[in-house]
Amino acid sequence: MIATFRYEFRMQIRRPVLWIVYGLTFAVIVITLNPAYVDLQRSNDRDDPMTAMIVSADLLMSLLPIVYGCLLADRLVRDRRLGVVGVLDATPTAHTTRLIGKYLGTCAATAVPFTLAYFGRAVVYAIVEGEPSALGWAVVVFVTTTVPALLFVGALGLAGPLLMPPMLFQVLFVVYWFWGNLIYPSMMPTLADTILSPNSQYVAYGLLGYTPAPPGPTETHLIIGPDYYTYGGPTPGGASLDFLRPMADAPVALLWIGVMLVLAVFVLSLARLHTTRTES
Amino acid sequence: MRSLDLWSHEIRRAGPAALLAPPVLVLLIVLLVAFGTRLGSREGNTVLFLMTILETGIPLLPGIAAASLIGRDHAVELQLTLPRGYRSTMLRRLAVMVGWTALCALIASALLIVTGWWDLLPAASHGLAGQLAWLSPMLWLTALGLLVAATLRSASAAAAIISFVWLFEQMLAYLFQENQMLRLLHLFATTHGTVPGDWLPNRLTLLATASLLAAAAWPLLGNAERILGGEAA
Repeated sequence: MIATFRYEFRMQIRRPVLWIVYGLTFAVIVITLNPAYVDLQRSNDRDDPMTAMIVSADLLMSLLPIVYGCLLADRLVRDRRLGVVGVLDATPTAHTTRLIGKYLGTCAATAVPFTLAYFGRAVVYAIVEGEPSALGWAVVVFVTTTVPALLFVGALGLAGPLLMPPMLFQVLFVVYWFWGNLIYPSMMPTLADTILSPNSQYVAYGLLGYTPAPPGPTETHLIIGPDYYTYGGPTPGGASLDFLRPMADAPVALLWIGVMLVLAVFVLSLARLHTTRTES
Repeated sequence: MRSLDLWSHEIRRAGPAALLAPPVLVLLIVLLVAFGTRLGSREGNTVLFLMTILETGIPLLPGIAAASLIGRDHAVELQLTLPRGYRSTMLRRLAVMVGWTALCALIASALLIVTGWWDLLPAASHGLAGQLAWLSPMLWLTALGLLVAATLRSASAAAAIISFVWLFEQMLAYLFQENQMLRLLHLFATTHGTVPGDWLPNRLTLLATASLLAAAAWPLLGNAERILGGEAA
């Protein structure tokens, strides 16, 4: 597994397109989200490193996972297309071990530009604001919020194209990300802001005690929805699937992390079952 | 006859998933028109959903199809020796997807016009120009997909860029609407609303820039050496 991990990691991280696509999209995010990404404040009366790191992670998590998922989408089907599956099957490494190694290796490599962007911003914040504790908060937020979400999205991106044509998967994946993670719950029945959504803020609200200030005048200029009411209780006016949006507290935040890991394992098991079924 | 054979081959080759996706969107529109109100969706919301499917859903399909065009053929060497240019084969493939999606979009808009929903669509100009609501973004996203795929030679990277542009223009529509220049280039100006006088210029600018993108992709697609290199890693 370690060997597969290392090989897959190196193979993915050396792809020039990985850096080109991340570079382009990150540049677009920095340029266009300028006021929000430079201030990292949800409104003017909050100025602590934890809030800044949560907002920073949230800004990246809203758009970059789509790049992350798409760049993972060809990794598993590629083995088949190149006809190396038979050769790999002949090695002593078991199927499951290979799948896990491939999953962890490609996910880790594809997350590297993401991680660099996030911690790069944290270092800049720590230096400019003179707040070294931002680095500590960055690690905490990254491990508890971003890593579980990326593990689930990574499993989805890797296994999805195996279960359906890659082109269809890519269309469904982007539509899923828009519908299930970004739109407001009051608009239509959606998984956004539920315990099943990788873009949820349960850890920030439940575990880290994040409480955003009331919306300021710049609130409408953030892509993040005014989700403070969703995590503090039911959506005003009610929304469908509200039973999947429990009040955020520490156990619920841990539950969310667990749900992400279970979903990742579930999707990978589907991929494993699929390879078993299509073998020989 | 021979040319007809080629077209029918490409249609069969496209696969059920690609051929079924546009009719599924039309079906969604039909269901929404028929049952939207009964399901408790307010009229304003239903109009927004209808426009979202037509203006954003329809263009995404050929956009991703164009992005996935490169590096799928085995024995490209053989293809390159044929009297029919490989570039025209790739463009024929794309034309099948674009044409089929356009036909489905036409059916959907005819349905919306007949049922009277079209009149409620935001900023949708009436008459023939109204069809630019889906046609302009579709051609623009397809041209971009073609250019990115030809440049990067990687289907997954090209799809990542198309998906990102699609999401970005939806999520940050206000950025495009605030700026006079960007307003002309906003893909989803009908759904997200624009200055009434700017709608048609926006649609025509999209068509013009789409042809520029396609023109930039043209020489790259004809470069046999690049094509022989196959998909980049």
